[in-house]
Amino acid sequence: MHWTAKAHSAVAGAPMRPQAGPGPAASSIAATARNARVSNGLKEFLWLISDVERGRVLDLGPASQGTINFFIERGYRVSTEDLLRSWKEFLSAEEERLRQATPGDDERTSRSLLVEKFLDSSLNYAENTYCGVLAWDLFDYLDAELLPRAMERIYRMLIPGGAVLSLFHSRPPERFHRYRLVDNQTIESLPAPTITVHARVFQNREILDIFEEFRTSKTFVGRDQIREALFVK
Amino acid sequence: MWRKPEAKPSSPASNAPAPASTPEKAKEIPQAVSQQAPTTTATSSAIKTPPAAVAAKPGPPEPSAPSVAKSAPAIATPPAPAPQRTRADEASTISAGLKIKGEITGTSDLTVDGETQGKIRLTNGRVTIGASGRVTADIDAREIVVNGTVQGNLKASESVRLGPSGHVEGSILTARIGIDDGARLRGNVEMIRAGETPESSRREAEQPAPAQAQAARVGSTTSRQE
Repeated sequence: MHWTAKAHSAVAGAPMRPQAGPGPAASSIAATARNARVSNGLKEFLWLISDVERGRVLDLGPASQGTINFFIERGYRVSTEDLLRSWKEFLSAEEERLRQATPGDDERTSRSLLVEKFLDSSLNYAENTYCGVLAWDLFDYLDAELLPRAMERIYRMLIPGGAVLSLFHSRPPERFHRYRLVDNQTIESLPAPTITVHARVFQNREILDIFEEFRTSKTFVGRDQIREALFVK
Repeated sequence: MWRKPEAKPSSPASNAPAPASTPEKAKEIPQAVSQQAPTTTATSSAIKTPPAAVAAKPGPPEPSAPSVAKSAPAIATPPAPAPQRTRADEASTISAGLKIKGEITGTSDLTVDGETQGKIRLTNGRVTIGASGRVTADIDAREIVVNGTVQGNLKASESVRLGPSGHVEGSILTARIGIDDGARLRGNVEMIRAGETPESSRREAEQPAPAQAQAARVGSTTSRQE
């Protein structure tokens, strides 16, 4: 069976591959202790990409050894790009450059031009490269100007049938977090130094609009009111 | 009643250094000396190595020559065995404030605290980028540790480690990888089997992937996660 035809299967909630270790109950208890959450979105994401041989996965959050090892042990190739941090550093560098510009210089640039300039060197991957993209809660923090352009790039870099897993907060989070995979059904969130403030809370309809080019969508709402959204190209 | 005689404080047995500890000290002390005496190298050369004379210091103390030898110089004391060179002795450092352009090759270990541009190829050595190190180069080594900034591809036959202040922009090809919290990586990570050459793994990785068929449109669903 081709992997892209697996969406909406009856076994969507089942773990991707049987693994030795504690069962779901024990895993859930351990997950609570580590500020981790059992993720149906992750399970389905892994299941969708499981048949791609030597597939490539892109992690758009801070580099995490746990996440990298998780995929490498399963035969994937992993790329990481901390997009939010790169964007903020780019903006800081641009502001500094403008401060040092002489008054006569016409250096003022619109936000959209800044986005263009940023994307010249970021999210620059070949078309149809990745079978999966882990966006975590990136879209909650991205500028309104950058978000649609970033989505275009993500859509382009995914292979047909490739999947994006993202998280959306139902209310503004108290602090900034980074995420990593613990096992094939658990995501751990770790408090991290704030890079930028939470930009906005998306409604379901808005989330669908963001991913309008994608073929398939599936969302899971957890008890912590974080919505996991899985979109398939 | 018989009592076991205690060793006299002045006996040779109690004063003699423990032979097992001397090889370790021989490794440690040259590093400390090279840190304490930077004036010997920083201004005169780009790459500093611990001076051989300093490295020879921490060897086992020579026994004091017996008085007979003083009065009879014809009886020569046997020369002390030369200290065995360790990898620490062979490590080289590009100090902070120094900038090197070009290709660095060799077999020793290298620490970069300054700036390097070009290529670093120490296939049997360990390359350490210090917190102040800035490297714009591809690095090919046995082991790579990054605490500074690297723009370039890293190939390590054994391991790559990114410290908390490490920042890498480039691909990583290695058998083991360690990434500390706070480290930044922008690029690809691919693993090779330990002992495998990066080149052979690269050839294997560049095999064309099977073509992907078009996905079927399935629709949209929402479910509640328990």
